[in-house]
Amino acid sequence: MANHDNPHGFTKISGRAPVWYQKDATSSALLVVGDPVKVETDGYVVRAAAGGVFRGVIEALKSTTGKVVNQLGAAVAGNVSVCDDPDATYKAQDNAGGTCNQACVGTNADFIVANGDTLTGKSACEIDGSTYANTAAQVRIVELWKGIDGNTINAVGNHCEWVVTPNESDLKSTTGI
Amino acid sequence: MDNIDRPNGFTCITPHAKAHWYQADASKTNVIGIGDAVHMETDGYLIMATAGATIRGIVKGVRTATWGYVEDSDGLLLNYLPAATAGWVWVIDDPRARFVIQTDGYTTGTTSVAKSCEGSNFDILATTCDTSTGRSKHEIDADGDSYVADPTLTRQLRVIGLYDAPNNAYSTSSDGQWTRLEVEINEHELKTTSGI
Repeated sequence: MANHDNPHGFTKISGRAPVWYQKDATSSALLVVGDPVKVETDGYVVRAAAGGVFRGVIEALKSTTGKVVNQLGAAVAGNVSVCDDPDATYKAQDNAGGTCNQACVGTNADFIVANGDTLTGKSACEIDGSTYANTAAQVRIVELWKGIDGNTINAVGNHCEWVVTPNESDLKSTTGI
Repeated sequence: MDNIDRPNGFTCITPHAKAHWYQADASKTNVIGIGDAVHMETDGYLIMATAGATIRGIVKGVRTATWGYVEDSDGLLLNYLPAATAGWVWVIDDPRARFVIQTDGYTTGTTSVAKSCEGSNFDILATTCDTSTGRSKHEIDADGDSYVADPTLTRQLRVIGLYDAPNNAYSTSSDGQWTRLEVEINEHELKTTSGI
């Protein structure tokens, strides 16, 4: 049975406790839980782009008044709880953009970003299936996530759920921002 | 209210992997205090880290091999390891541990520490510890480094963020630096594949 197409961003499986960062009102993208983020040179976080280093994954969001929210609009400042553990693991979906098979395990891949759902606050980011390679990319494919995806047992193939770990975390490099 | 100038080295603020006991010999140049950054030399012994050196970790405790405590020639118990005393140093050497540490003073003409320093790298100002309390006096060398000019330079510490505490803020006043920042050790000896 085909895997269920249900992009949800990155769902943490293991890793240390998150850290609060700040978002300013000048970023270009909406932030929701499950989105990957990077730290810009001004010290504020924005949604990470496909390709390049990133800091971690959003676990929670708060407004500047401390209210828990399910999104921060592009022009809305707020506080962002980020799992920035470079050795964390996450569950993320393949976007069916390329060849997805057992040989992808151990390779690297970039993620593909899209605005999250503004009603549910769910991330729409996925693993870009066209980028599986043994050259440097944003995440490392660790293994197939062993579980039930919707009412389907997750299997290698399009839209499968991978267990991934950050590969291009900026905290894995000694170069600052 | 201005930040207070009270350097006290590194204080760990995150859960960390088990700390390890390392040896320090009697040929050290400097004392080793609690909260000091330490560096491993090629002979396998630890010394206080100086600016620009790789860092093994942060000191949690000291003892001598013989007695389990450190004392001076008068038998007075010490809470630091004198330069000419061999002993053991208990070190938080988890490369992912995070610490709070104060910036040093602001020098007119340099760039004051601000939000934009988050993500940038800095070296330490390795002042020897207070031998009355045994507490470290290490600070972030914020005025010695022009981080705005080249924030990507590899330096000893990576700034994660402003430490959330009362009377601690980014300040541009000449006597209001001494900002406490959360940092991770960037040039950690266990983050590199190179040996010593």
